[in-house]
Amino acid sequence: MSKLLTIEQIEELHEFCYFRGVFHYDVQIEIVDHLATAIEKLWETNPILPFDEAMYTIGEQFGGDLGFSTFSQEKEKAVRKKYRRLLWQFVADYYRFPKIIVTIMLTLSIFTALYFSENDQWIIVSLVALFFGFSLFYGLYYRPKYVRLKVKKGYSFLLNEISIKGLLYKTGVGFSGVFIHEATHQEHFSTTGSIIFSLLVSLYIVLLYGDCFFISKKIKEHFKEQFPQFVIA
Amino acid sequence: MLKIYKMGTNQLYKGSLSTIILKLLGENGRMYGYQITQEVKAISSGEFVITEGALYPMLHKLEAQGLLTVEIEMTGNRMRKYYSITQNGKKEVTNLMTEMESYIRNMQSLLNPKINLA
Repeated sequence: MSKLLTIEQIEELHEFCYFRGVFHYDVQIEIVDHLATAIEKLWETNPILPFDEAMYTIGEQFGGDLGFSTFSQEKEKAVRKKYRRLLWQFVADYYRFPKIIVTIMLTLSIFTALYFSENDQWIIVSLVALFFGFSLFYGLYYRPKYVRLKVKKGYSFLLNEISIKGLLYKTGVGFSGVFIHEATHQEHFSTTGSIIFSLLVSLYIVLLYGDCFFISKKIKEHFKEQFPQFVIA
Repeated sequence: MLKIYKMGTNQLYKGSLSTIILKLLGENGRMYGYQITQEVKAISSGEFVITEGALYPMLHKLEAQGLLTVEIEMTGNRMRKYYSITQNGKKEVTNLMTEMESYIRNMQSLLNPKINLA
């Protein structure tokens, strides 16, 4: 019977990955299995080869330190891409019947408010205040309580930490700056300006809603499916 | 021996790798990374070797594109990630195979033109 790796040796392989820059447990899993299978293959022809020696030999074949960090970076990029694709599918859904009605209503409401208001500044300032208020509520209360999963102590998972909100949030802050600047320099948008503004804001709201509630839920589901044994709450 | 290293320099190999992976998974059902490298090596009698640096980023990319799906299971003392082809992946492999066959046919015509003696 061929020699197999022990639990302790598997743990050592996880540490081996960690010290080569692969910090997330879910990313380590695939490398560890690859290294372990390769070591066991090596033992079939050379069963007396010490584990440490086999680990370093196979680790070098994996591309050395650079191979590990590249693996980790590529994986993170792929995970982000996967959820970005899901987010755009979600948004596309809001631009098709029947959900497009929600988007049209949203755009029309913003446009009507701008069109009939005597001073656009108040509407822009209210929207910016709503954005920051929501960010505080989501970041400080909703995300820690309902989105982030509590996992076993000592484990860090890319899937539990991945977030594409960073970019959306920065875009929101950027937009806020531009709109406040516009609002302080002119009292009224032109009709074209109002249409563009309403369309941009409604698209942003759908994107933000999709990211904060739909994508977060998807990530949570995927995590629970793949790693149920690590979920505490 | 033809070695596929980290992709990026050769578009032909880059294109072939995704076709090879999708075709293998389409024929063999679910497979894990190491198994794919060994299967390719065995089929090509050791002429074609896929390195880890090329294989895993491609697997992750195909998964992100929704062409592959993933299952994680315990095997012995460790977890193993299995890849399977999705319905979209099956459609994609048919397209890629058609493109590949047409490419090979055209290359053959270009490099070995038949001499018409009639």
